Amino acid sequence: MASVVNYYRVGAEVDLGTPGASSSEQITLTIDGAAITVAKGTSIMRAAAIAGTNIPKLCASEDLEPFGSCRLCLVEIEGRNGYPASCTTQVEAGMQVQTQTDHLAKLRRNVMELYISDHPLDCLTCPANGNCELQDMAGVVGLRDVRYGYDGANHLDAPKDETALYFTFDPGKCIVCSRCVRACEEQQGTFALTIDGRGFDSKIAASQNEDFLGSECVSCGACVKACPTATLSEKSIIKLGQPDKATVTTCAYCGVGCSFRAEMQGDQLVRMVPNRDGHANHGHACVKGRFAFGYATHKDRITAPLIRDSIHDEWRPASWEEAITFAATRLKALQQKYGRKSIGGITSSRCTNEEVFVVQKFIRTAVGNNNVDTCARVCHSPTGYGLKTTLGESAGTQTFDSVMMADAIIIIGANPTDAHPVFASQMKRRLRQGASLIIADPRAIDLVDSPHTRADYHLQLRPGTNVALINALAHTIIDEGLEHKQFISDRCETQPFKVWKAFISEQRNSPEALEEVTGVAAAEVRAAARVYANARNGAIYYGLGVTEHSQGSTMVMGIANLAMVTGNLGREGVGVNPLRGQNNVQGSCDMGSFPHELPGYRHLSDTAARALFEEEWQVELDSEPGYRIPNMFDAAIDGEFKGLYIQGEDIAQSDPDTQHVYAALSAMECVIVQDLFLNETAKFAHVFLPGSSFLEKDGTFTNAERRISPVRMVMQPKSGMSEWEITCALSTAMGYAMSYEHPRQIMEEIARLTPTFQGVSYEKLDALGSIQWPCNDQSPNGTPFMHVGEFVRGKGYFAPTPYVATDERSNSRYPLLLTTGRILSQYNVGAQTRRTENLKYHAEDQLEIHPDDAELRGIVDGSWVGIKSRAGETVLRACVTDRVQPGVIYTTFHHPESGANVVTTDNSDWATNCPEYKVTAVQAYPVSHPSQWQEMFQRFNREQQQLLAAGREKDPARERFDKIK
Amino acid sequence: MTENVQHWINIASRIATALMDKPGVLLPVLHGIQDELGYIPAQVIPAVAKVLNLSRAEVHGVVSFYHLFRTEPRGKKIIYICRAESCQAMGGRKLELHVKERLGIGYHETTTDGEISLEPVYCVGNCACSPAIMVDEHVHSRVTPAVFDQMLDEMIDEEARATFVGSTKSATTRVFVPSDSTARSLGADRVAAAVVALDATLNLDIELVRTGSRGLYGLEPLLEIETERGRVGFSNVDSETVKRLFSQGIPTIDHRECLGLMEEHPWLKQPRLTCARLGVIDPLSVDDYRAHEGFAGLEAALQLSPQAIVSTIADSGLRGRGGAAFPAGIKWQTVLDAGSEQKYVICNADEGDSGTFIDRMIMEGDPFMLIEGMTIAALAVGATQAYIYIRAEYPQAIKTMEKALDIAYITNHIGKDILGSGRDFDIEIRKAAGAYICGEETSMLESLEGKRGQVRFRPPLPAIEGLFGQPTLVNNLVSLASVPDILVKGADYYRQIGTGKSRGTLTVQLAGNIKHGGLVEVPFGISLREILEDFGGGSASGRPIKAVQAGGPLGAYIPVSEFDTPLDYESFKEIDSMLGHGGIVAFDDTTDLGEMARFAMEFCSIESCGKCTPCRIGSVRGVEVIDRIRAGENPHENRILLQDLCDTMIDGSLCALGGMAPFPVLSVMRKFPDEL
Repeated sequence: MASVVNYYRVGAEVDLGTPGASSSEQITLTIDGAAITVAKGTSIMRAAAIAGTNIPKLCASEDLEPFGSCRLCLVEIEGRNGYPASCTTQVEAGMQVQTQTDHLAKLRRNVMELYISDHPLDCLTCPANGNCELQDMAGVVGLRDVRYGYDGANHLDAPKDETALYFTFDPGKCIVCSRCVRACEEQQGTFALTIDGRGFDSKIAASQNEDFLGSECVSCGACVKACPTATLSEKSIIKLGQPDKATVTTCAYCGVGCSFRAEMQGDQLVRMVPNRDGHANHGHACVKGRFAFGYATHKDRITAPLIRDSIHDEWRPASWEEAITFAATRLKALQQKYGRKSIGGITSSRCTNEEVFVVQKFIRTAVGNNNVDTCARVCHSPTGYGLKTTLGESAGTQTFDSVMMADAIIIIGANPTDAHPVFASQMKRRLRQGASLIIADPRAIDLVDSPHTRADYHLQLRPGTNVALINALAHTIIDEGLEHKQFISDRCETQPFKVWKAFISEQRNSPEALEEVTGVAAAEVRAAARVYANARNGAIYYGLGVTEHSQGSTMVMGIANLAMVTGNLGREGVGVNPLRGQNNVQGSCDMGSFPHELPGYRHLSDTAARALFEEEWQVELDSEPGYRIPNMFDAAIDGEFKGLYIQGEDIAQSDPDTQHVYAALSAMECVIVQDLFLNETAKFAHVFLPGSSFLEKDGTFTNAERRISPVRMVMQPKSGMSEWEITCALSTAMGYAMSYEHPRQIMEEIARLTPTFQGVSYEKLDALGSIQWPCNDQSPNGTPFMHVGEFVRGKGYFAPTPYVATDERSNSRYPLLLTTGRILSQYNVGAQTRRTENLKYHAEDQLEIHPDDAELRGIVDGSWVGIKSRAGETVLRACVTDRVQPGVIYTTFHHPESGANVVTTDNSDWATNCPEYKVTAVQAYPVSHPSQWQEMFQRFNREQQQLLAAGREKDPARERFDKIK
Repeated sequence: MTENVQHWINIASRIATALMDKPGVLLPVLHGIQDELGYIPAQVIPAVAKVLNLSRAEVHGVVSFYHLFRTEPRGKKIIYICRAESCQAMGGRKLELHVKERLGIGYHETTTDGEISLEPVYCVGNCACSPAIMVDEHVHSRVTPAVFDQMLDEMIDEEARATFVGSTKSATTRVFVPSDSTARSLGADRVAAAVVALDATLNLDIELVRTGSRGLYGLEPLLEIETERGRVGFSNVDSETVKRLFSQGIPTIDHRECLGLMEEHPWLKQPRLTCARLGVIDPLSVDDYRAHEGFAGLEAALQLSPQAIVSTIADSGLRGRGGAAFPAGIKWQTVLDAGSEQKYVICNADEGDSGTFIDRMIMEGDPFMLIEGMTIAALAVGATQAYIYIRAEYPQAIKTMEKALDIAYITNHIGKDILGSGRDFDIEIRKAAGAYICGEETSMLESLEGKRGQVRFRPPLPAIEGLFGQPTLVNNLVSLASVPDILVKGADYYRQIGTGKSRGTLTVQLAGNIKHGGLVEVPFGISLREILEDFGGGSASGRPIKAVQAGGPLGAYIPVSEFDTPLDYESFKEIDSMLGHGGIVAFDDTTDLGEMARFAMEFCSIESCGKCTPCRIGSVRGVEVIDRIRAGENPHENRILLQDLCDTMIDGSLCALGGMAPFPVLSVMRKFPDEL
């Protein structure tokens, strides 16, 4: 057991009332006689708060633009008539402000009296009791009497709306401060809330004054956080009461890496509140991070180790010692029988840096080979390869905040509002300020056309033609002389640029020549290229729609080329920004999860690097790269690969060509799964090691902007063991002793071994909140923008990017192209989100199909559709929509029984083997039964659930299973 | 989805798509839909939101904010009853009760046969002939219960309504009949029709000219005939009178019914500057306008630098005529000095104050003057786009303004390369939708941006950060209408008229219980008593005038003892009152001023945007407290509470609505202590 230390100072968030000002000009004024100096543009309210005076307020919040409606914050200013609101009045030099006079006191009390004349007096039974700004302000102004009485017109009987899954709306308690409406607009950018009616009849309304559940609300929770009363309350607060302590930690969903305050009662998590000081999210959140944490205490959690000899045996509960010994013995036996290289491990992009680090260390030391890979293999491995090749570092170049300086934004193959919602909100804020938007996507994502966001160009290309499109864009820039000549000559290698320029100038790369291939009109491509090239700052954001292709790495390089040729690198507002799928994709890659790379992206053939590790670890490292995940599968089927230790990844659901994965797993003799639930992969396992949720961990995650953020244990691991401890125990049992007292020591080791992490420590994380690597002597506080002045590789490298069509082309047998993606409420394979109320938002995966294709096939909305590719066949429910173009169908993969990956093929990126999830040639047809695979899946699933239940029945310490229910 | 709903959605999408390229166009789109469908069905909102790149919530919020947007089907006809003070002064409350009883419905309801919907309205600009009702777009004057009953019968018999007859071809004798909506409400259309009919049968060779109104509403319908000596008038004409007058050919000044030369009429002993052309010219004739000095100001301005124009306005001493009386020159200078590519000029024609109708009169009677004034303003401050925000309760003013704009474009007085000057300037009319608060300039900006008319805090001033965040010159209609004359006659000329810091003329609108209601344009400085007695001729009821309310619904009630106060901004401030937009509403001694004080709070509660607490909740509590005082409940404590509430609203409200709504209440408490 690690000692549980709360490293972090926890206090309530201070709200200074209005956003800070960025001006460098300083203004000095006096407030209540005391001089204070603040930045020009600061409100009197904020200046007073900085000086330690809290002017009463209700409608003001640091998270929102000033509004000036509550009239509690009025002040007196020498030489001015009336009583200006301190939230909306900016400081001026020499201003003399009084925040407290007899007249102000009376005025505030009288305003509060009006509020309370239309407010229920049920404070003691109110969910906000103890955390209500109205209550606080009534106290502050000294309200003692409501002379109007309580029988005047009021809203006390307004009906409650409890339809939203995680919060309730009680208009009877509303003070119409509009903080919720403003939060929805300014922070979230959805504009789902408004005020219905006017005057005394003003009432907060969702969409067209309807239930929250059916409205445009996306349940980000911004309105709930903004609400100063109990009008918008988390259901968990209503049920449990107010929390009594809070710990700042980092969300474990998606690559945005939002900072949260986990608010607790004892070891009970009451709610997650986005942290205003979070550098990635600035106090904002999405429905997943904010609300969908119930999986951590779901009844499906397995908290005791389980073992079995064969996957058709019942699971046997075991002690930790027993399970570790069982696993180690089996793995050693396999190595003895089939050779050193017959086993390996997979690290998880959901686990902490420290946990990942120890797994790869375990493989390289105790196992003694390099058979370690990570789930980034199937998502962002081309990013690593492409950016390393062109720019010199396998990471995005910017901070998220950089988008606020971008004038033209290109989004390629990403769906930020669904997959990176908190960053999407920031991007939308910039778009509302007037930045241009170009979207390259086969499907109309929300950003193409949603309130106050409309793409200037939606380049609706055919799946699989990314490289053709990026070449056409680059061709236009060269053809029209829009390249940034100075940047190219100063910052990039000359000869490769010449070669590339000659290549890209070829007529075959012109938008006109490629129109037939991409399906995008040449004029549109040219216009979009001009917008990007002519913008003061152009920024490119991309996702798995770029990487998960047979030319994924080529496309990443094409994107880097486009940024270089226009000089859009090395400063704020520009850059190449991969939006990472899972919370720690960046970190798991940084931590040396690849079979050919040590931590910090140092190739195994780098003898100096290898020597460093050998010295530290006191072991000789194998210099030969190990298996990538697909190689592991192939080798397993060939009988050469027999044992696999899988840390928190569900390859049986997430990897392509499911039947191939099943075959590989079935062929192995020892599969060890470390996870929260009996996931699809665990159904093929022999050892189940119960993992812990992010709430039970200490460590760090690294988000898409290279930001290392602290993850803090807010409750003890349910299984009794931290995940890094499990790996260490396994390693020790295998013969290589590993022991740490705390993850901080693992980070110290990482810092010792990795130049880009050299300056990272838990102490510094405490001090700074988070750190963007590289963090070393050159940039001790981290690096927001990379490649400033010079590329990491020295000069930028233009790699030629010839377009090669994928083998997955539609033909008469498979006339449609299937592409896949995610939606807002579910996360990845859904293991977490399906075990929360979010299930109600998205209870099944559906197949989006264009009305023309549907009509041709007799498919109607809501009916069952069979989809067949050369890999397999599955059945989904149809959603007929023109979001997809004719010839293209789309689905999500959040539910295992959907079998989206039964259909996807073994095609992959030429450089990294990242699967080509995004293009599968298929046929679709109406059906009335599930597919054969689905029937098999149901049978197998039933069997495995029975084997789990039977094992549990026999467990003498069965309460261990049930203790967290 | 029913076929019907799909049809509505198609219509809504078509309307929205046609307008989508204009910024902030939601209100015009919603008006367009309501004009076609009669209301705005909830089912069309998603389509509107989609086309305009808005959320459903935003569109819904806007629809629900404006009183004139309907979300339910309406009756075939809508009867709007004016509830404002001027109409109350003439028995409006009795009429209200009668109409409800007669129709068997309340406000916002429709008769069971689907024929008639009933809506309250707060002023239709017919205050000189109160009480008023409006049936669809037609105003009716001096509507007693008996008149209403008769109207209702006529309404069933559509034939009885006279249709509008416009100006006719040129001929030997020019006959003038106003087309102003108050004149029409008194029968001017029937007079015009009778003249045309008579001309046809008797071959009198008459050219009928439809003019605006001179504002002598006591004499309307007024018929004027051009003679060698000048224009002679005949008052209170109806179709019978027309037959009688013209039975012996064209009547002359010697006709026994003739008022004589109009320019010598005692009521017109006014130094009319701004209103000189009202009732004189054909509002839609550029020739007529030019013949009366029209566009001379614009031509002068085109020769001047922007700074020279602004300086002229500053030197003239012109102050904003909307009520706040802010020096126009300073505002113009601020916009001129604001650095921005895009600037706007906005004419605030949301004349919502009870007792005021000069904006309406100018739009109906001399629209080119406004266009000219706005164009000069745009040249001065460097704007290329302007909006005229007109209240929807003025349908005829909107129509006349629209036609005038079309003509101004055709004749190149606005548009591209104005009069060959190389300057471009566009004006667009935006129709409001029933929100008094949108007369407040920041809330009007919100409305023009297609939003709920919620007040913005200041600073930033609209002159620096106004419409769509750009520097914006927002002026009242009369302010802008005063501009051409200043450019023609010079700053000094204008400056020498008036008194103290109030320079130029004030367009007083006499309304309520007054014998001769109408327009009196006088230099600042004349006393209230002179206006009421010399022009107004005392009360309409013949009973003593007990009080007047000046400056609209937020103005104080002024007792007889203060009637000698001179009409200028500063003097009125001294008596805790204000001139506002120049409306004066008289009340006779039967008026219950306690009830009027209550109405001030009620009006505030009806028209509050709801943003700030003192106004949103305070106005409702104000009504309740006054009710308690009037019912004799703890009168002493409740008077203290009411005083506290008024202070809180005055000191705490975000804008002038909440900040001034207590003024009438306090004036009654202080100056008529027995009534509250």
